[in-house]
Order: sequence, then C-alpha cells, then structure tokens
Amino acid sequence: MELKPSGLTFKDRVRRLLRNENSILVIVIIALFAMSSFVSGGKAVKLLNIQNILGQVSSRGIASIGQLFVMLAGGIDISVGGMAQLSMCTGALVMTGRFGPIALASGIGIMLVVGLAGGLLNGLLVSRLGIVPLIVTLCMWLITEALTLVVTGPEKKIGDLPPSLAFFNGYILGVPVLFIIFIAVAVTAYFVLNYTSYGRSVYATGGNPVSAFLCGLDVRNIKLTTYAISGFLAGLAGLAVTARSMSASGPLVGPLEFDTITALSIGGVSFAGGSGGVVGSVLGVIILGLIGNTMNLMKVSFPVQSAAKGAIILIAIVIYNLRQRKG
Amino acid sequence: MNVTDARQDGHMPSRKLISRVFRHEESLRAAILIVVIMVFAGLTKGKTLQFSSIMNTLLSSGTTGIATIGQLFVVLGGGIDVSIGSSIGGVAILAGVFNAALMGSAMGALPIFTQILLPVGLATLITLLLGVGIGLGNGMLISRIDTPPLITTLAMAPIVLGVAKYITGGHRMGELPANLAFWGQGRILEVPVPFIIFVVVAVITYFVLNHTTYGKAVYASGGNPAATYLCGINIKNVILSTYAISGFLAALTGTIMVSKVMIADINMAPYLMIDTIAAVAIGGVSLSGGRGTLIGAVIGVFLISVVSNGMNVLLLGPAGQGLARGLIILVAVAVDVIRRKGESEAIV
Repeated sequence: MELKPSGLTFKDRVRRLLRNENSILVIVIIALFAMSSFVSGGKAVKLLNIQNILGQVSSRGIASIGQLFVMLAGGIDISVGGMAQLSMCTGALVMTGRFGPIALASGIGIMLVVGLAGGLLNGLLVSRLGIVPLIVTLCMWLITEALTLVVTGPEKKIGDLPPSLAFFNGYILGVPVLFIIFIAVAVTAYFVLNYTSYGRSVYATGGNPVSAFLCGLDVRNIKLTTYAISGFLAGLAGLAVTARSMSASGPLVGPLEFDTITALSIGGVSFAGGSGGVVGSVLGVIILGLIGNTMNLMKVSFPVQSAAKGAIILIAIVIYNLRQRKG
Repeated sequence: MNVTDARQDGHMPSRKLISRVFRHEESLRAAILIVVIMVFAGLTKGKTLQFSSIMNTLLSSGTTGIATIGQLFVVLGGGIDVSIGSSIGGVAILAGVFNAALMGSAMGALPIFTQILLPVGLATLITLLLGVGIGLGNGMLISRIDTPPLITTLAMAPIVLGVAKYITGGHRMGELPANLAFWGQGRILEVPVPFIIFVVVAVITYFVLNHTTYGKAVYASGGNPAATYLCGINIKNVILSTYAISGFLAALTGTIMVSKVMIADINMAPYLMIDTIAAVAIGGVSLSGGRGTLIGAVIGVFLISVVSNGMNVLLLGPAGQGLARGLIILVAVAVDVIRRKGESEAIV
C-alpha cells in the first residue's frame, strides 16, 4: 500500500506513523484499555470482559459499515435503528412460525430481505425523487418503528426462538462469532471501497457529485446502492442483536443511528461525504465500545453516559476540523 | 408580490388571474392543507371541526409553531438544528426545577437547586437565557470551527438531556407556582395564549425576514455563503445568531409546554424535533438553505397540527401515529419536490 520508506531514519518513520490518523486511534484504544483496567481493578483485562466487549460492538459495527457507505456517498441514514428493529422482529416472527427445520434459515433470510427492501426504498426516494436524505430517513425511522410495534403485537416482544440461533452468540477459538461476522463485513467493505471501481465511484459521488456525473458515473444508482447496503447491514445488525438476547423487541436495538454516527465521527469519516475509511470506522466502533464498557465498569449512570457520548462526538469533530484546517 | 404584478399588467383577464393564483408557491400547499383538514373531518365524522377541537389544534400549533420558526431561521441560514426537541425537554425540566425551587418542592433535584428561591419571572428569564446559551454553543462550533450542523446539534442533544436528567435525578417536577399556568393554559377571547404568542413571533419574524437587512443576510448566507462573504457580510455572526434564535424559541416552547400541563417532564416533546423539520420541509423551505418563506413554514405547522390532532381524535395508538406521521410527511414533501422539478431540471 504505502511506499517503502527506504532511506528514512527511525525518527522519520515514527513521525510518519504518528501523522496517520488511524495510528492515533490505536493509541487511544490502548490508553482507554489501560485506563479501564486501572479503574476497574483489573476486571477489564479478564477474557470474559474482552469477549463481552467484542460481542457488544458487533451489531453496532455492522450497522456502522452500512452507514459508512451512505456517508461516503454524501448522504445520511437516520433509519438504521428502525430498520434493524423491523427486520429483527419480522425475522424472529418467522422463526417462531411453522417452518420447522428451516425456521432459522428462513428467519435470517427474512431479516436480511426486510432490511434490504427498506434500504432500497430509502435509496429510491433519495435518488429518484430527490428528497433530502435527512427527511426520507427520518420518516422511514418513524414508519419502521411503528411497523415494529405492529409486528411485535401487544406483548412488544418475541421470544421462544429456535435454540440453534444461540450459535451466533457462541465462540470460535474464543472469538465471538458475531465479531467474526463484523470483521468479515469490514474486510469485504475494505476490499470493495479500495479495490473496485464501484468503491471509487462511491467516493467520487460523495466528494463531488456534479463532476462524478460529468465523468459518466451513474450517480443516482450509486446513491441507491449505498442505502440498500445500509439497509441490508441494518438487517444483519438486527440478527446480531436478536442472537445476543435470544429474543426480539424494538428497545433492544437502542439508539443505533446515534451510535453509528458517533463511531464514524470518532473514526474520522467526513459528513460532507467523500472521505473516510473502513479502518478508521472499525477503530471508532471499538473505541466507542471501550468507552461504554469503561463507564459501565465505573457504574456511571445512563444520562451521564449518553451526555459523555455527545461530548465525545463534539470533541472528535472539532479535532478533525482543526487538523484539516492546519493541513 | 403577485398582487403588484397584476396591477402593473393593468387589465388582466380573470382566467389568467386565476391561473396565476394557482401557480403561486403557497396555493398548492394551502390546497393540500385544506384536503388534509377535510380528510380528517371525514374520518372523524366532523369531530375535528368542532369548536373545542379547533382550539386544541390551535393550541398544539402554538408550541410546534414557535419551535418551527426557530428551525426556519437556522434552515434559511443553511444549517439544521436537531437539538430542538432535547433542548425543549431539557429546558422544560430546568424551568420546572427553577420554578419548583420557588415552591421548595423540587423533589429529587440536586440539593443546591432546592435551596435557590426564584420568582417566576426570574426563573423563566433564566430558562430562556439557557436556551440562548445552548444555541450559542451550537452556533459557535458550527460558525467558528465549521463543524457539520447535523452532527453538532445531534451531539448537543444528549448533552443537554444528560445534564438536565443529572440535575433533576430523572424525576418529573410537579407542584409548580400557579401563576405560571397562564402562558400555557390561559385564553384571551377563547383563543389559547400559546397560539397568540406564536402569531406574535410569526409577525415579528415576517418583518425581520422580509424588511430588514439582517433578514436578507440570513437568506444570503444560506443561499451562497461565499458570495455573501465577499459582499462584506459577517456570515459567521449571522449563522451564529440563527442558532441563538432557535435556542431561544426552543426555550420559550419548553416553558409554555411546562405551563400547559404544570409538570416538567423530560420526554414531553418526543415528536417535536421531527415536527419542526417536517413543517419547514412541507412548507417548501429548502433544507440546503437560502430559499423558503415564513408563510410556507406556517402552513407546514398547521398541517402537522391538524394531522396530530386528527390522530388524537381518532384515538390512534403509537403505531398508527408513527405510521401516519411518517407517510404524510413523506407524501407532502414528495409533492413539493416533484412540482419543483419541473421548474429547474437538476442533473444529479
């Protein structure tokens, strides 16, 4: 990837490494981890806690990769949380139905299809009608949340899911299965964004839509596909949430749209579109997870936690903006 | 504007005049509003057209409207404020704290706040200033450091709510001083006071936006910031001021909402943020800034209020309300966007 710095001294290499934003994020992760193990009296370093963090961040991480595609193309998807809710609850409903041996597979299939369909609808409204992404996805968020209430019925919760679903909440060689799925999604996204013409055109669309159009790129369809990807991955995130709690209900998802945006802003993704990357986003997701875990270990109350997350977004975007101005 | 055009033309055939009225920006919106009113009147068998129901609609349009005018300033200046709902919740509960402190009954609030004794006027003044402070915080970051408006205000929301919840310990505040009630529950000649305040704010805004240099500067900053800067206008301060106005009006809305029910609750305005953006968008105000009118936004406010009042009369549950709200906003905005597409063909 990078040119080999052959004639560079050690000092230059360190300086070059430090100038890279991602290595700063790695340093932040190490510092946070050291801090959390200090304040928790060593609890944070226990294998179970680390496995727990990795499992926790997975659903958020998967959805963040989808949000990354949308933001790179210059849009925003406020409906990821609602999408995840609706797809997980419809999928779970199918799992409890009378599909017998293929209950699990059909349920997962439904989750992904519902997410994809919702994403396509977002994309069509944005790219074909030209309605502002914020309005479209805000409305879709209202609609999907309302439909979730319809799907889950008066109990507001779907339980009795097939026991084989627990596989997703298990471990392979000590690594949570959900985290492996997250990393697989991230690696695929990294490949697509960096080594395919589609990936390049996503960046071009977000960076300068007019010149991308004049270069002959099908800007409308590129925007459409980013929303479809975001919807599909929101469905997958819904599966992750369902597997972790072995039940499905709207509130389990939490403020997913807010969390994905927080993670991406820590990871240095530009909200004007066209700049940012998968590595930064993944590191942002892990930092967000670590901060949440540290605050939980410190028994920080919920309103203070969410205020802290808001402050983190502000600090992150201020730092990135000041750095950009200097460069 | 159309009236003067017609006069200049001198003799205008009535058919031409009619077609001109129908082509006017706001006439389509007004027509949509009338259709929506009629649909809900039909669905509720006329219940929404009863006097008390109309007054309820006016009452809810009062609070939504004041907050929407704040949003209008921000959006015209090229920004967006998604912290409005939380500011209202947060400021509302602080209004509750300050006022309840007067009664010595701010249960669950941090002890220092129960010690402060404030008269209602002073407590309200402090809460309004707090709103301005939140807006200035948003505006400073956005205008001085160029942080993206959507993300900045999105991040500000949980900070405001978190601080408010921390101070109150997450409790609702009741037992507020009785003279606070006038602003939310009072009626003057049967018209709800919040609606009157909304009308006053709207008239002032109409004057400011259309007949002052500041108003023109807001439009210019949103429409073409670079050219506006080159014209010697201090866009940074113009943008800063729009957020301060929005914060102030959000605080005013919060105070009115508290006095409406005489309870300060952090979740009292769950849909308000969406409603302000929806009202502005339905009113044909461009979310990329610089284009739109107060009249359009006011029609948007009425449409939202008619819909939510209609849904309350129909006793729709949260599922039905969310669904109807989402669909109606989408359709109303889509109609406006499609109509506009004919005017200028955008390439992307």
